[in-house]
Amino acid sequence: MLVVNNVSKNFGKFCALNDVTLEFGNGVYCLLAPNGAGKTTLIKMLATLIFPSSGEICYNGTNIVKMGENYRDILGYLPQEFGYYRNNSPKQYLLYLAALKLIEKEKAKKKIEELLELVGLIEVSDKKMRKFSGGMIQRVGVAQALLNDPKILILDEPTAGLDPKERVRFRNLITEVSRDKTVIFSTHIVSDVESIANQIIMIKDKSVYYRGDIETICKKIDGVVYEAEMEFDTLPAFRQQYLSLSEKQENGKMRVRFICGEAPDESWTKVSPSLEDAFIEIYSDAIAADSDLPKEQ
Amino acid sequence: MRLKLYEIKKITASPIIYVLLIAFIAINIKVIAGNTYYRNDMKVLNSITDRFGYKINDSMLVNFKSYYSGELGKMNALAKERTSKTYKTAYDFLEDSDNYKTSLYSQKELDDIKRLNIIENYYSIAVGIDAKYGKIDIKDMGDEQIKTYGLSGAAAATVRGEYESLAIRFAQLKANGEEKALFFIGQIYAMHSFLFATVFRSMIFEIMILSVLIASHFANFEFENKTQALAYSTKRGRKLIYDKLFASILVCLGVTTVLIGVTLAVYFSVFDYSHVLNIPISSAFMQEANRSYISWWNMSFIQYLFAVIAIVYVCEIIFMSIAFCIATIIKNNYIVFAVFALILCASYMLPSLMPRNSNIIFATSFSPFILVLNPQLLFMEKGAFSTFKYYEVITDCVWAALMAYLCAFCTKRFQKSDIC
Ligand SMILES: Nc1ncnc2c1ncn2[C@@H]1O[C@H](COP(=O)(O)OP(=O)(O)OP(=O)(O)O)[C@@H](O)[C@H]1O
Ligand SMILES: [Mg+2]
Repeated sequence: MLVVNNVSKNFGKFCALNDVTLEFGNGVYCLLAPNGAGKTTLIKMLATLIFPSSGEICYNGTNIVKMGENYRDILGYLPQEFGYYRNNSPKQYLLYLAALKLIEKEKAKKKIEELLELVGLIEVSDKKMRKFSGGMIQRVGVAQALLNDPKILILDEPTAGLDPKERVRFRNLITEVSRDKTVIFSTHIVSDVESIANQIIMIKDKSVYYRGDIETICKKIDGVVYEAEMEFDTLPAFRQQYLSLSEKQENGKMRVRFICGEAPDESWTKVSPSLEDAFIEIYSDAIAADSDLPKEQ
Repeated sequence: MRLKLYEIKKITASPIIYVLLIAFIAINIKVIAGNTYYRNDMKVLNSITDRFGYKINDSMLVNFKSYYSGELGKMNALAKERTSKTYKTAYDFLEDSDNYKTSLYSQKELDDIKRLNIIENYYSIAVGIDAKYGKIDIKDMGDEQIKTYGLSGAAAATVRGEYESLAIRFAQLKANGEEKALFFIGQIYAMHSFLFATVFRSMIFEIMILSVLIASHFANFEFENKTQALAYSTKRGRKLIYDKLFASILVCLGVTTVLIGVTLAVYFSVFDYSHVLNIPISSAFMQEANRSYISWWNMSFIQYLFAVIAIVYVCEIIFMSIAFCIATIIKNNYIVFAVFALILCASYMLPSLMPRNSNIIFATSFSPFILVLNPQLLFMEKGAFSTFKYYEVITDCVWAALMAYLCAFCTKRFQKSDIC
């Protein structure tokens, strides 16, 4: 059991996370939050790359920093951005990481073979990684996280840059490996979540906003989500009035999905809310404020 | 061990280290090649030592003199026959432009007389040593230094003390007859400063550049390649920094060995030192300008060479660890270089900023950066601030201990620092 206890993290004067408390048992957890919310910050603390400014993170009652290599031994981690050595083949690269994970060479070789098969890179296992596409690199990253059969698998935006086919493969892979494991992954791609996560964790205003299953969060906006068709020129005024969730063109008109807390117009149709709707609703204030800022790296 | 090997591969796989190493060796060879015009003249010494040995004493001087007079007689006989002139020395002969008129003397004859002139130089210096060394007053040298640097108070007293103990050593040196040994004439060939000042100093700074490069390359390798999040979250984790320190030391030693090894191999294959390896380093023949080389220990040339090499090794490890410590804090290799250069400059400036009447000024001279500035003066009298008998040993030991502590501190600090 991995427990995050009243953890805050400051970078100098800037507070990235404030008083976060969470518990992770076995299962697949998804950190769902927009850019810059602090997902990576939380994950880096879980990977002991950065240390909480206050509070502590414990695994089975022991502080993970104190556990040191015993903790990192059961940890598999895929960073959001990770470098690789361009002249290495996946095999060489994984062998090196296995050495860093203090896995015996012979054992590592066997495991690497298995994992490359699992992520579908076995044919290119001796090709130099400089020729790899982003998705292939990402899969090498997933493979390295699994090298040491981790009890805790932490993946920071694992599906970023994967095409839909690869995403499906990734989802299956997670479901396959997640037995008896704690899997924590972050994303802001809602469709990834719906299919694999048992639990979602939403971070807002530097702290945990929601923790639970998908149905519950969707229920929060049940009954206030509508769809309507309208002319283009009425749209700007409409947007001012209601929170628009999605818009698309249909037969020369606009089909708008939106939230309305008041009595609805009879031309509107009530629809059942999706996780995406909930996400946009929850972060609507932040999205409005952020929309003209450059995207955080 | 596997991880240490992986670490070492990180630098041996990078071409920059080879490029620099080859470039530096090429520079050194060019420097050595630029000095080869003496090469044949220097061989004359070998024939002298073959005949009389390198130790200068009364019986040797008698033999040397009779040999020299004999050769001079032969020269004059030849001169008398051709021009009915005689000369007091071979030098006078060579100065007389009449002797170069066409086909008066064959090239071989002129070459022999040039050779005799060189023998003559050795002889005249050899007979003058006693007089010259009798006049050297070490305490005066100390007072001179005090005046030059305007020292007073405790600082002046320290320098006086230094030179007093040097005076005792100098008396010993003379009693041992260390100054009375043949070596390539310093005033003509300046081989001591060529080897130790020119060649060694450039090697030292070349290795310094390589050491800093190696240390920062190792310490920041993951950050440069953006693999830090992966590497430092593995089981080995931040302890990897210890493997890096180990690899840095090893590679630094290797690079030092290769650079010094190749350069010296070239040097000694160009200049034949085989006959002078055992002559004392304080030989009067070493003297180039005004300064006689007075070493604190009775060392032969070869012992001195190895002692200097040992000092270079220790200093390079010290430089490497300074860079390593900086690199555990600063993640940008260029800035690591800049900070190192700043420390280098600061340590050169520091002594000049100190009060001239207190002993603090000496403390600031005990720095490896200053130590390597004049490798030709290691273990010798070298001015007010660093003539101390154990200057080299103390500087190296104190700084090695300091750097060991700082490395321990920085690697420990690294264990607790955020990796972003
Ligand atoms: N090393 C750091 N120094 C200063 N500020 C930082 C540092 N790392 C992160 N931050 C700040 O902390 C906040 C949270 O960043 P974080 O990377 O955790 O967000 P994120 O949720 O992972 O975003 P994204 O979806 O873009 O990856 C951001 O405002 C970021 O600017
Ligand atoms: Mg992130």
